[in-house]
Amino acid sequence: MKKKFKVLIGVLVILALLIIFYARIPTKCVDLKCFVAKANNCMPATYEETTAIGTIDYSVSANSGDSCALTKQVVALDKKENDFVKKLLENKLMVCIYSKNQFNGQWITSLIEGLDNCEGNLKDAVGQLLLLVDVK
Amino acid sequence: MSFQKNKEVVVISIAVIILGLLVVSAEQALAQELYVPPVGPGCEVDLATGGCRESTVVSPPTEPIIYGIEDEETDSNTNVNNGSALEEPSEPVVGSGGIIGSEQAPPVIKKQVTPPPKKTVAPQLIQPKKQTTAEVDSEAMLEAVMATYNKQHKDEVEKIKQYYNKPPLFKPATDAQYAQSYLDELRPIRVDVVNAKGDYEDALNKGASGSEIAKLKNSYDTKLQDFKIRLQDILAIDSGSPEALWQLGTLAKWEGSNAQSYENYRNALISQRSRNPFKYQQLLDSLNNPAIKIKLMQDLQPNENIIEIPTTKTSPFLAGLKNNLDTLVQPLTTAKKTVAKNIEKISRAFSFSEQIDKAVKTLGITQ
Repeated sequence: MKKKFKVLIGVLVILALLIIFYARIPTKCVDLKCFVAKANNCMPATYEETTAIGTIDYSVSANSGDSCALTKQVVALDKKENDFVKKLLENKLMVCIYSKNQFNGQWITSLIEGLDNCEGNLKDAVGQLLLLVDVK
Repeated sequence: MSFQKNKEVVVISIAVIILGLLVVSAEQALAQELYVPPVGPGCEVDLATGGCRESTVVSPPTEPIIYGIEDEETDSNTNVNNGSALEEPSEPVVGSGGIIGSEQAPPVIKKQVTPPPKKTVAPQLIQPKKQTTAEVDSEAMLEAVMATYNKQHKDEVEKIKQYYNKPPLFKPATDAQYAQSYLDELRPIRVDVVNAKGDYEDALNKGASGSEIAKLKNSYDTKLQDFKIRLQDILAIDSGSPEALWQLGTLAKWEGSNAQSYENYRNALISQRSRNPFKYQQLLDSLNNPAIKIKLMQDLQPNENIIEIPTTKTSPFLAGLKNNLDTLVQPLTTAKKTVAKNIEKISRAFSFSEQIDKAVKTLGITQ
């Protein structure tokens, strides 16, 4: 009888550990809607977006309390991209800290908006490139 | 027996759930301990969040110089004394924030001494290479120029220090440390400027009264001017300070044009080249912003082969950036245009009214 209990306990422990493990695995989103929803809820998720500019990776992780962190990394720029810009931006990343339910969608839709809460060498590199852009 | 069994299962299940919760909370606590907030120069730690305080977040590069074209050229020495590192360089270094950013000894020309060949020649026959008269002269000239420059520079920095009347944070203080202490003062001013700018733009967008807009614009302009003067002073002390350069970029963004920022760099560089031509290249090399660097190199050294400057036509990323910027400034531009149109209408109306008055007077019509 005791043996059965031990087995039961073992199974339950394994189940509990599996639940914990799965809860920590980030969801791999295939569209922006999924990612923004997860990010807003501060749930771990990743999203890779390829546009005319290049490929950018986004990932969300939970910090302590209600604090969440979005990591934005330029994986690769478009083949046509200028070498100087490529060298300056590729593999650079920045981390944007926000509170749960206060995710700023501009971090994904814009290259420069909402950067006040972000830190990292990607932000600096984008700031440096502003010199080369003439605004209307 | 069956009841007893069920009871035991329930107890065990509860125990397992509690165990699971304990594991989760322990992991969270551990993660909290291990979490390193993104603290760097310009970041005031918020004890509540562990991150940077929003109001004081500025973003100097966390790694002083490791960007773009400087990646391969920069060694560990080039990062010293650039506004974030506070150690005194142990020897004269390149990239210290330029000539104005250093109280270090002038560079010494090391004389090349041929090492004695082994075995083939007797040691007593080897004579160290003597300095030629030309070498001695150029060295003396360099020292003289450096001495003159250092004096001029010291006077200039002293003036600024006296203006602020602020004691050094550390003794002996380097220019970079002075610059850093002034940057500490600049951050809250930056927040003020941002707020004033926001108020002004809000007023424009909401269609506030002319007097209200004028008042807010005046407040914004005053704060911006103060910010600019202080930033220029900081750059005069340490032109290589990453944070100051970043702030300069911010300034350019506020002003809606990067041309001003570029002009500031250009003028600083040209003025320093005329004061100390020997360190001109060092100053250029010390620039942390590769975009500004290549543009300056092409501008100031047109005969040298410089890599092609990316434009919005050759770079999809820059095109995207421009698109975002245009979107960002569009509401402001529209609001400005509307205000300008209204002013024109009013002035036309006044002009029309004046013309009627004149006509009335000319015709001698009285009411």
